[in-house]
Amino acid sequence: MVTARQRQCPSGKRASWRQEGSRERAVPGGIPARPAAAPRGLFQAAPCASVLLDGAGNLSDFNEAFRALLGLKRTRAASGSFSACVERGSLAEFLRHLRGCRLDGNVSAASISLQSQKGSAIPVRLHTRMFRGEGQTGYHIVIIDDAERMAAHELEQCARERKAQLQWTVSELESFSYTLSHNMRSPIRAIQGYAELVAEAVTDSASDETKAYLGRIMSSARRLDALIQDVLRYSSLGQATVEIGPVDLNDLVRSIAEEPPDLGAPRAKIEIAGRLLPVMGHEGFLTQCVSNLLSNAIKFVAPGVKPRVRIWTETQGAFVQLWVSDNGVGIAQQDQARIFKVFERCQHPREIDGTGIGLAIVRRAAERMSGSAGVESQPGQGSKFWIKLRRLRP
Amino acid sequence: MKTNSDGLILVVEDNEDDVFFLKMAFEDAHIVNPVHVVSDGEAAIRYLAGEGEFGDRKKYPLPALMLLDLKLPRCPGLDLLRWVQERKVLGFPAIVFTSSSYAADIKAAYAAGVASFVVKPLTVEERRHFAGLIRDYWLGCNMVPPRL
Repeated sequence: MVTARQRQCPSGKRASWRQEGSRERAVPGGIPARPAAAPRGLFQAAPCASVLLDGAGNLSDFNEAFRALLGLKRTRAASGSFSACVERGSLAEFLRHLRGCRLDGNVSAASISLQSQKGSAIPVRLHTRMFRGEGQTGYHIVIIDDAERMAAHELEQCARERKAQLQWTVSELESFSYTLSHNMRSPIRAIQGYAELVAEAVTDSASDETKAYLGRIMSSARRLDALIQDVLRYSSLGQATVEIGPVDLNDLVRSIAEEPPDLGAPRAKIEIAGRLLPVMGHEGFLTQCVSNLLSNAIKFVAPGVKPRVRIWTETQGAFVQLWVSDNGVGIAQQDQARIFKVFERCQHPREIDGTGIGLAIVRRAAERMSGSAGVESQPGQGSKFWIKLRRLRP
Repeated sequence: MKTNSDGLILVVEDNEDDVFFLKMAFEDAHIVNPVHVVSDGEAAIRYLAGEGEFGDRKKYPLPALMLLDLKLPRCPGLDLLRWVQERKVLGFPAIVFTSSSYAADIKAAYAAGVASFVVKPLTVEERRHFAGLIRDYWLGCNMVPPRL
């Protein structure tokens, strides 16, 4: 029962949780008194096990949660000693904890494994306050079932180990692909170099057929070298962290467009519409995206056609969409998803060279910048490639 | 003061093919400077320190330019660069000449005091172009302290 006086307790004064007529008595010298039957309702209904022991280790009170924790029968636990409730091994741990408690008003804590006479061991945390009351010392112990917390802790530990393992694997893979490609480039240089020397040495004497063979050796070496570089670029997109910041797309695109890749094709006409909008991105990644899109736009034209490329940006909600449209051969509907995958290419005239990784780099780089990439196209109608990136916040 | 045009070029490279192509490119670019090749990082350190077989400074002068690969036997290129950096008195530019264009390598090389970072060219034409730039800038314009 809570009295009316307590309910109307003026603010600023702490309302007592004690019941009127509580048997608890303050002991001089700061020594805590036994909480006795004080908030009985809370003691009984508390979700964690709570028990009062007298100095001799007899159960003087306990709550429902304690009974449930140790799986005690109502009759059994109604009275008697605590030692009868738990298994011998965990009793020793328990008593060691009690011996460590002092009559100074502080709460001592310990983590032990508690095993009931019949049940299995449960990891628990003990919070014990020693008190003096009715002529003898006693203990008020709150027992918190730690199994759930331990399980969560183990899970967390497991996740942490997995993460470390994954990070290791990723960095191993990165260093592996790097070392592999580094080591592969050196024999390619030798193949290319010696083939060129042979070609120079036999300029006057070799047949056209021999020269063509040498040409194939050299173009294969160059292709393999380009392939390795693209694989390296693609795998470097996997790096753990990408720093995203404001990028002046206008400057970036214009400087790339000024030096279009030399593809032996007639010089392309590149038109940039207005001032391109700035975006949130990574300059290195964006450079790769734009130069790949631009070189594709110029590369994939029908023979004899002068490439015409148009570039513009538009705002799409929280994003800016960069468009690169061309007058190229176009891409059939069924190929449009495929071309963004590594090593996937459409059927093109043989003379169009490429590694098959360029658009995979574009998409992956866009995604690493929290954006996306795609295409709108019809065969014979040219293509409109786009990347969408987060808009610069004003 | 004089330009380096007659200074020695120290090449630290273990790949014989690359040494062959480089020497050929130097020849094509009419570079007449003496070239000394060592094939690992430790030998490069001995050379620069004037130790062991490289004790005679007249025969093995300090270079006007060092070209080094990063992947080297015994002592990696970056360790060699750091060794050079700690002995600032040596006073010559080091150019990394490697297959790697790995950002971490480029950053580490500059942190270790490299003057320039070049990815090895693939074709004869590109190599000739590179050798021409070495001749015109690093041997023609760039200054190093006079060698005794």
